[in-house]
Amino acid sequence: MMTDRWRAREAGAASEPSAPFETVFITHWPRVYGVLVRLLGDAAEAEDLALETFWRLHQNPPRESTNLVGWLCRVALNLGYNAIRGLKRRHVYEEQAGLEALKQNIEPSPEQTLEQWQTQEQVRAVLREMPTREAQLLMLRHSGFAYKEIAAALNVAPSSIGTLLTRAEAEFERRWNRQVTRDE
Amino acid sequence: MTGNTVTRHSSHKIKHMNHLTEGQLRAHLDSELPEAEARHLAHCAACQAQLDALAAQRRHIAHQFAMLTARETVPSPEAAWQKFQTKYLVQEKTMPQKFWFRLRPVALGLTVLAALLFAFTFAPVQQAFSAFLGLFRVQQIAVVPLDLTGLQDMGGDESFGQRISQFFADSFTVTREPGEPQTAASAAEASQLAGFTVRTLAAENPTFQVSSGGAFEFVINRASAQAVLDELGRSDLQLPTDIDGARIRVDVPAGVMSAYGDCQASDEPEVEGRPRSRTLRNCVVLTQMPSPSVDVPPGVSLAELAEIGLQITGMTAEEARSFTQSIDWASTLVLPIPRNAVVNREVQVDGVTGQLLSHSEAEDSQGYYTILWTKDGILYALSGYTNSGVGLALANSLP
Repeated sequence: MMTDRWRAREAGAASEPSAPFETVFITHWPRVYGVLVRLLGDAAEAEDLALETFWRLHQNPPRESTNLVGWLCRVALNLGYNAIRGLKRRHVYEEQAGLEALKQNIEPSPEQTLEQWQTQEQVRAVLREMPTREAQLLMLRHSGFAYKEIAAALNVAPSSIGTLLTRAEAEFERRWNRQVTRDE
Repeated sequence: MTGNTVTRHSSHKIKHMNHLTEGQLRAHLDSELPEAEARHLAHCAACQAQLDALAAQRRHIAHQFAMLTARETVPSPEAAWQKFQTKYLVQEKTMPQKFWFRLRPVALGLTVLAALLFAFTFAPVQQAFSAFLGLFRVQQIAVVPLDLTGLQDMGGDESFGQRISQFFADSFTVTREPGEPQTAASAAEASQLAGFTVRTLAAENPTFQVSSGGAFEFVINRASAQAVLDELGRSDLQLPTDIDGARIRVDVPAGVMSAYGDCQASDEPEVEGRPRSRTLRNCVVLTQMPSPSVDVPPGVSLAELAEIGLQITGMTAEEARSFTQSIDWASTLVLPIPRNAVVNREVQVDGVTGQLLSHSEAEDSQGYYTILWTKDGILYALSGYTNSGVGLALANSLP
């Protein structure tokens, strides 16, 4: 049974002993969920995918547990990206529904909320179109992850993060400007 | 960018100097550049200018990303851990492997069949105190939610689990081996292979798999069964003496599983980090088969066995009796479900009353669900990954 894999790891059967699964879950949940909810903008969907991320850790833990948060974020972002790309059509529908709801003054300060909501959708639209690794890099960095953690999550050298980040941000800017122009 | 440039200093000496790369400058903005490397900035106007440009770009993007910060409260890790346990761990321990959730869709229909077999075999399906009820066919379905948490620890005792498995292995004889499922190109071909008229949903591109069905016998060994109860610490529950040697025959006719939407992704090997189940949101599987038949020898009171079984799972004797008396055992298939992982409710489907099993009672909630019903002697199970409202609409599209 899959449960035994983590049990075996806890008992030191893997390359190194691990903390109990519950401890790992409690420790890393806020960051894994945080990245997903920023990416998806849907709390329920983010929670669902965050739980699935931990389930995958439970089923198939990595051999090395030196940077579990990196591993978790890689899995979470892959799940998240496939979700936002797969749900693109749904977003178009929800965009309309959301706009209508906001126009009807459901939120306390509709103009401000509408602007924030529109920006969120624009950011996610750009991220959807960007190369996956660049988009994931931006998500991680702007969620407060350190270079070392990002490097572990994306399987790149820590010394290359600065360069990759610069390129990714330039690409984001280029696409952002193009989208803003198109929307206007 | 890295470049060996030549800089003329006030001393008129020519000195080679390495500018910082964009990557180093960006790392400096994030306080990730070693101090030794950052010292260069203090003396280099070109690098400083480039740093300012990168800082402006970073500020702008940071502002956009800051907008993504969720307004909703982050669920506490402890609450999330509870959900995780309920959704995955408890289920893994208490359900037959990959029972209702986390199912491979192509296997879903087969799993439903297996679940039905499970129910026929281990759950109370017939009360035989009326001798004439030697044979019955399913005309309706009832669900009994059980609190299985008390049984979780059983899974942790490997030797006990093995003895349980051995008990059932010793008691079972397959009298008609199920053949390999056959693929049919159309509903007409599936109907011909299965021997009944296969109905199709109002959805495109179905694929059909016909399973041949099978038959088995289960001979009750009272002493072994009582030993299991004793080991569970439930010696207070005594099995009736007249069940010893009773032979229960179950015949499962050929069934048809039709899959709609993208259900094939599940057969791909799972690649780390690549979602599998996320691609299955439009997969719906409809399984249909004529009602299985169960032949129970006269004198064997399966209702009495049911009462005992329900008490093992935590029901009081009164609750168990009340439940068994509320069921028309002559025609009802009873499905046990874990109360903490699956919710059920009666639904109107295909013109009859059926049972909806899902994560949540809300019709529009996202997640796996199964709708079970019987009509005109055929047992139906419709399972999907979107929401049960969609499933019900599809089920009601049956001609």
